Amino acid sequence: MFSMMFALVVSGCMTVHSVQLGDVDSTVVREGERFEIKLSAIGFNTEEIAELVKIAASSRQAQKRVESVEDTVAMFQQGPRTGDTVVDPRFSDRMRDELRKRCPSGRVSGLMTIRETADYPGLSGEIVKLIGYCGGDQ
Amino acid sequence: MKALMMVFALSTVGCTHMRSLSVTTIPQDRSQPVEAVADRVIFFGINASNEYVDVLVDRLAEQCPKGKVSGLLTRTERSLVFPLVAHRVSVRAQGFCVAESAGAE
Repeated sequence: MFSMMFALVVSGCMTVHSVQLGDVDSTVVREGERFEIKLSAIGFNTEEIAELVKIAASSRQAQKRVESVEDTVAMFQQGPRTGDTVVDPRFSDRMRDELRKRCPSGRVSGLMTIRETADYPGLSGEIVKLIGYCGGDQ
Repeated sequence: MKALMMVFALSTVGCTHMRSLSVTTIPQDRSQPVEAVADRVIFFGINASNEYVDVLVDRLAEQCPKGKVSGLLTRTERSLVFPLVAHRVSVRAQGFCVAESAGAE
């Protein structure tokens, strides 16, 4: 119940996991065009989902069954990570292609890569954001 | 027990965790260091957006209007302000302003 209430309280909360900055060419930043590329995937918080299912379960036996499934899933969720589990962790691989589309001149500067999570009860938005400046044609 | 809890709570105040670190190519000319910080104190874990970090690039560019900021070390940290109540997330970027003609090592 506490987890449920806590999840509701932090609905839509944004968590920043990492920020990386590339070299900053002041001329490009000043005269170029700012762009933002955001790629995301739905994350599944298995613990929160299990809590919600347990609340909805009609009997103690059903709750125990959910608990055993939760424990089994937890065994495969070990190791360091950022955010929740996603179906396909390669969702951000097309970032380079998106960057090429947004800045065909290739004069990119002030690139900031942000890895963040938008938390919702049971689910989350696992986001990779790229902010930068694109200079004119070379 | 209460005293123990109090000591534990107080001992955790100021704890800092590093979330990420990145470095770009270090330039030869390191005579003009620049630094920018973006941070936010978050109460009860509630934070609507992370847009406060967007200012970093502009702040660095302002400090180096006629050159390029290189050798950027970017550190993302999370530190406790008050147990269970507030924590601070900060992103610190430190680098060197290099004139256009200078090269990298």
